[in-house]
Amino acid sequence: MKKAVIFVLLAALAVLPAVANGGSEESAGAEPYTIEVSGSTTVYPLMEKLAEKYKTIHPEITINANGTGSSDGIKAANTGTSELGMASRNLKTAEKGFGLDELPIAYDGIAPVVHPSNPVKALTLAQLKDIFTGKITDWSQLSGEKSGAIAVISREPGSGTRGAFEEFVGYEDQLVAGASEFDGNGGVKAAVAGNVDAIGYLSLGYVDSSVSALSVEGAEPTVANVINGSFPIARPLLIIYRADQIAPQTQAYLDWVMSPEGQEIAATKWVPAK
Amino acid sequence: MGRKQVIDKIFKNFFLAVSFASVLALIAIIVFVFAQGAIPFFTWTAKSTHLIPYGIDEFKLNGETVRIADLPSNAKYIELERQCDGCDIEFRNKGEAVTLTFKIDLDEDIVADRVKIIETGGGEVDYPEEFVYEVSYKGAIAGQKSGFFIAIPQGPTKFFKEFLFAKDWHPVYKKQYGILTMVIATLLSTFGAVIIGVPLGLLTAVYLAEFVPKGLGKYVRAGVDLLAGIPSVVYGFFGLMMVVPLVKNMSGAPAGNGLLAAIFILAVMMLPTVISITETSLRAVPRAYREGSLALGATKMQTSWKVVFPAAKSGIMASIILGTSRAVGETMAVIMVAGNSPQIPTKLSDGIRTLTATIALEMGYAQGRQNHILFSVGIVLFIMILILNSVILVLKKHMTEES
Repeated sequence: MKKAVIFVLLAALAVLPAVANGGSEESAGAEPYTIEVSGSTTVYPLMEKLAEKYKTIHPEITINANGTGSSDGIKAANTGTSELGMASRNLKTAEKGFGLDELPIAYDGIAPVVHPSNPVKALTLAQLKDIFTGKITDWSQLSGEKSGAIAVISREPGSGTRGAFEEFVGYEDQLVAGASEFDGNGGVKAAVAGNVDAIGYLSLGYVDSSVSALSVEGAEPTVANVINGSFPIARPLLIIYRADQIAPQTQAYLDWVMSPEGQEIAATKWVPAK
Repeated sequence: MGRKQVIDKIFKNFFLAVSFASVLALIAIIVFVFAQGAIPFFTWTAKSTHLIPYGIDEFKLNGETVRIADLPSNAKYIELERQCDGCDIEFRNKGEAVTLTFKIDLDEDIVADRVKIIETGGGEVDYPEEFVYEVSYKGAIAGQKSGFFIAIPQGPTKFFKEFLFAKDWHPVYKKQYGILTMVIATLLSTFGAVIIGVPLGLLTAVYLAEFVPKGLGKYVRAGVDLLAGIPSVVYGFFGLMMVVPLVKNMSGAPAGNGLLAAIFILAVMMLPTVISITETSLRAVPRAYREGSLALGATKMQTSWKVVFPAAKSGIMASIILGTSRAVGETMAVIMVAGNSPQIPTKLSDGIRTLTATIALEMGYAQGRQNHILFSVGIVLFIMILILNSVILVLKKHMTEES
């Protein structure tokens, strides 16, 4: 019995390196290439769509996208853990010193969202600021048809969407104490969809029928209104990279993203950059 | 030496190597976390003030020409002296010569006084975030701007005054890293879960070990084991969909995410640990104890309560430690139901943010000092668990000596 166990162990040891070598030889000979992309959860759905389409044209290229957060994407591009980083906010002061290249692949609106049953359909920027800083606390202050304390829902600190929303509405770091903070656009959407008294904000790419998106300053949150500038809350979706260090395959992919074909995909839910 | 001895020796060394490797890995992790987490309390965020130009190709700093293209590709900034009495920048904007003069003194106590901008030459001064000054100039094209960021380093964070006992968590713009709210939230949610979960778990275990009919016991035990195997995100999802709306309806609070929902989910999550370990230790009590007690005329209830339960004390303590540790360390389920607002709760329905939730929520977004502070939060958690375990160990020792 013991002999058999030892034999199996030794055999496994002997076979392991051979298997590992075989694997690497196979991939070295052919052309496949994997582009690692990580960063903003807001850019992620767009990147997924682009990757899906690109795979049909260039089956040998795999685009491995991860939604980990804007700062993480910038960090990854800086240290080289990912070839491309995704960010949904402009670079911060310290990050500007990294000497990274930025490529805006699309623009995105941020819509305030409420539960579909909420009669409130439009707000002004001043009202939004009062809600998110805690000056307006009850729905009856906004609408005659609805009452109940407002449940304010925010993204986590450092989120690109939160940074852009706070900047445009004008309440940087003054979020009302007691506001719920959720992880990612999906977390906010689930929380708003499940609470009739909630208000939150979502990237336009995430808005669907489970929530009701509000007009801001009289402009509906649509791609057209972001393009003509009447919807006031919008920011660029960036790809962060080092132009002198990326592989030719990655450069080809970026060129394709900025081509009419790639931008057509960006135009489905976002505002094309070109 | 015979063949058997040789094989024995090989195995012995193999086991030694394996255990050495695993202990080494543990030590490496702890050393790494402590090293990272200690950084904010001893060092400045950078050695010097950084001058970061944007939209400018070339300028003169105190008479010396700096070309952006000549700077290293991963460090497009210039380091300034700690004290700079009248730094002088000259460059051309829209064809006009502009002079920008400022003073830096990092030894100044008040942060706002560390940089004084004396002359902007038509630029606009702004403070996009704490410790950062921006001087911007309108470019030739509408909307285009050029200018400089002056980023001064942040001094060491004071451990008690600015971290452990500070209430304000504003990591992005104000750079305040107070975690008192999260320590309190972690303690409250754990304490609440222990108050509910431990008695429920202990009583269930006593029933399962002593009273349950054989047929039923099999199914209950299988159910408890199944409960232990459910991933925490599933508990969290259940909490988000069922418990949170229930709390909202019952309390009338604007949102059901909060302390109560977290306590409920944590109590349920620690049940399987408490039940299965307690039950195992109750079963390990020798049959002779029970038989002796019954033979002396004690009832079945008296036997299990006064004889079996005390005899299994150390196992029961272990189950409580493990259950509590699970509640302290639980992350995913808590993030989903607790609301994550960094505040000191005054009501059961108030949103709370635990220490673990903070690390998980912000690690993807943290940059600079915030990143190290998250490791410091990890150290605080580690120490909390250590204190918890030693308190229970002391209690256990105390109780064994008594009996």
